[in-house]
Amino acid sequence: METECQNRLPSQPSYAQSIPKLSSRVLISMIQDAEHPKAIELLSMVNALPVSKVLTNIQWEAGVIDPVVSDALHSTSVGSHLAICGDERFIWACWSVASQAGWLNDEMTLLKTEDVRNLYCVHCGHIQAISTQTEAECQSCQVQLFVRDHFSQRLGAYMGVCLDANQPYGGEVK
Amino acid sequence: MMRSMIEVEVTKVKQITDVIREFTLSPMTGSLPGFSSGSHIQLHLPTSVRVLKKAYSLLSDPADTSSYRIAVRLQEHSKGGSRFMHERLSEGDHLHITPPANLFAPNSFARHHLMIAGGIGITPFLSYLAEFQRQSKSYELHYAYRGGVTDAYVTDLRQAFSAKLHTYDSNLEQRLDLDQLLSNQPVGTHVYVCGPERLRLAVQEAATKNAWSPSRIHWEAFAGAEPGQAFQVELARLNKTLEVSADESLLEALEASGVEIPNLCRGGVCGQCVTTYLEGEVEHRDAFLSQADQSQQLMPCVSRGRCGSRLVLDL
Amino acid sequence: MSVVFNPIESYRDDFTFRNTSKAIKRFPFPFPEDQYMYSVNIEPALKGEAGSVFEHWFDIDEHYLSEVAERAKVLEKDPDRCLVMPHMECAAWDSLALLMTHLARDYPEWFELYQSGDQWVWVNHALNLRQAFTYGDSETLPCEPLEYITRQVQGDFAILDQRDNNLWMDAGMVTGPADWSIKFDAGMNFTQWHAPVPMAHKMGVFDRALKYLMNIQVDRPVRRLNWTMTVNPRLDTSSETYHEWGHERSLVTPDNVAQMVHLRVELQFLARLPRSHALMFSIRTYLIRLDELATQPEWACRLHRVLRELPDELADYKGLSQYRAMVVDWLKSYDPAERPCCAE
Ligand code: HEM
Ligand code: FES
Repeated sequence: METECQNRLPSQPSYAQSIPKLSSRVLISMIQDAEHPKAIELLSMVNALPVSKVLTNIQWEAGVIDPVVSDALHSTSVGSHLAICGDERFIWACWSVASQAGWLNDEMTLLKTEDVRNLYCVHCGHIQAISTQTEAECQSCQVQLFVRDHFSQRLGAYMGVCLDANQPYGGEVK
Repeated sequence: MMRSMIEVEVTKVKQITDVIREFTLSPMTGSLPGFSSGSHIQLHLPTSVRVLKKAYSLLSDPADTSSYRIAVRLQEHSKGGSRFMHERLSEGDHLHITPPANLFAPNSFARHHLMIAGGIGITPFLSYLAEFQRQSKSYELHYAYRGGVTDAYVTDLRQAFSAKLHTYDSNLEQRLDLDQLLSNQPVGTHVYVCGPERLRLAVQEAATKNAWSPSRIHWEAFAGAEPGQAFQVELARLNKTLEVSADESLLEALEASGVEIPNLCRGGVCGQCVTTYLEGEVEHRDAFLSQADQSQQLMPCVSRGRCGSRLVLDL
Repeated sequence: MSVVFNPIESYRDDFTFRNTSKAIKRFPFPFPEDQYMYSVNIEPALKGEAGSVFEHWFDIDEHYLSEVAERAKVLEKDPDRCLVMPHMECAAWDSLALLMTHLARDYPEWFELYQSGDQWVWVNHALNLRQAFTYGDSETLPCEPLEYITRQVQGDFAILDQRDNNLWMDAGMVTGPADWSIKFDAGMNFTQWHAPVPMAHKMGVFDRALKYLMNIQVDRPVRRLNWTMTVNPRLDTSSETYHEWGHERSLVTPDNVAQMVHLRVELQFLARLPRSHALMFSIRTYLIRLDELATQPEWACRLHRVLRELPDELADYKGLSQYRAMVVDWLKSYDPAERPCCAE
């Protein structure tokens, strides 16, 4: 079980704890790692639905949109459901393609597997992968960043903002 | 706060079908406030008994603010608004209207717009079509009516939008199969429905059956309170008792007795007319209040006291 | 009475920004009481007194040329501070139309607009510009329409799309925000972009405000005041540049506090855009140095009490904690202790 912190920011994403019962006839699943327990659980229920499409081995890094994925997301009809299963970076990369295609949040189930997420440096706009840490150095502008809980779905990233304005680039601890 | 009214002149009255009339309202000077597709105005109609307030969709092109056009269907048992509009209002008359408000705007994120109109419910879509056409949006219109009676504008629509228009004439037994229609709309479609209550319910039912997300379904709600049963209401602070008849809303009854309540949609969605009640059983018909709030508050534009129970308002 | 512009002042580096006594008199002092807490402080934007900041929808004042120059500097380095998503194109034109018609009507000595159908001519005497263009055709303007017009107006702008029972920040020009980022917040809804604000969510402030805002009608704008404090008269206190200005908070000393610390007031104005049904949110920022403010002793007295009592959570969020005590100390001499302040 993930522990949800009491003081969640309203912009923080929330992920499904389990796969909900679906009334849709069509389920599209986008899976990062088919071996992960959550993916296995997802795959086990896929067969129960009249129509389903499972997409694995998706190209998703660096803003590339896999034409197979894009096609699957565009060619279905309203009333379908989309399950995205992977780490946070994978989830939001897929989410972005889906929402461009016209999918709504309540038509998607987001299943988080690993704690790999994106950090957006608010000073230079660079996005980098991090884990659960709350501090990181921006790989592009070298500002020492504090990782806020404030999250942008559009960027698929948490906000990183200068940790110590008196020493933006770090330095000797006095 | 009373919203300031605009005085307009009825510059043209046009019979569209046997039961539908179109009115062109022009400003006394200059131009009228701009508006967006799906907007409505309230007309204040000085009938012999009292000033009636009725909301109508603007059907003109939003690019044109030199006048507003509305269309009104004569309701069979009307004692009020539509009869007044059809029998008493003529070219040259002056009226007061509110500035436009919009509770039925197209969704700007939609990849495809599916419009479903029943009879006089075509009006808001006329303003949609003008913008969709100009902005090269993807859309289709399904229009159900009774030929010769409620088929307003169908000839014009055929000329301008034939490829995207689907008509269903009940006289010819042509039926709109909603289940079929909603079962294969492309991802990103939003559906808009305007017309009789049963059409809206049928669309909602078909949408639910096809697993549509509720946020893809939009309807024009101000069509007005469905009639109910007569009831009595007490105004605790004003120390007054009013009779609300079967064919008027609680809001109308309050207004008729000189109690002004802020209001906008007159259809239970905007939240402006919220009123606290102290006692009584309420038939809640709004789409605004949460269930918890409904134990103390009601929307008088649509909701009514249950017949036989004593409704007491905090007014 | 016509506005006179100061020669160009700077909002960075040597910070030559100053208020004349006229600007001080019309400063929108934001505190109606001796304490401050978040509330749904929104009111209809009725026309205010002649000469006041509430007289016109879009206030143009003595700092016009300086603010326009500052915006150009920010955009030169960071052009993405102006952003218009594709579905907001109609709202961008709506914004241009609203700004041009109001500016030309309210400041005819500086701005003129000639319209003949979709053929428009815009004249800005202050910046010596004359532009003929076709309304609705971006090709006929030197840049995107929201950028074109907001480069010529004071204040930041967020343009909000209304859908799914919410407002979405899908366009804007934000070069002088109080510690937030349009580049990060773009695409968020009302609840999401307000996420970092403490206390107010639980108080229900945002839920109630949102319902109110979604009902704003054409020609019935509303407004509210918000406030914070800024060290040095810096307009661009964005998150983007925080690593450049944040350290100034630790430069405040009891000796320089009255010259360094500014009260920063935002006059926020919301108007329905008629054609697109989007909402325009304009944030007109006014800065006043502590010693300028103290020329109105009743303001200094009230600010003293407000700051002294301000909950720590709010002070932290607003970034005042490092120097609040020094400001309170400096203002103390303006507070005749037990008597209520007489600021209006
Ligand atoms: C619809 C237009 C509005 C926009 C675009 C907007 C935007 C913002 C933004 C970006 C912030 C900074 C949040 C952060 O820390 O990242 C903020 C703060 C805030 N907003 Fe809004 N806002 C709007 C309307 C309102 C309204 C109507 C209220 C009324 C209650 C309100 C109340 C607040 C408050 C209390 C804060 C905290 C400010 C402080 O303490 O300095 N906002 N707003
Ligand atoms: S007037 Fe809109 S809810 Fe009653």
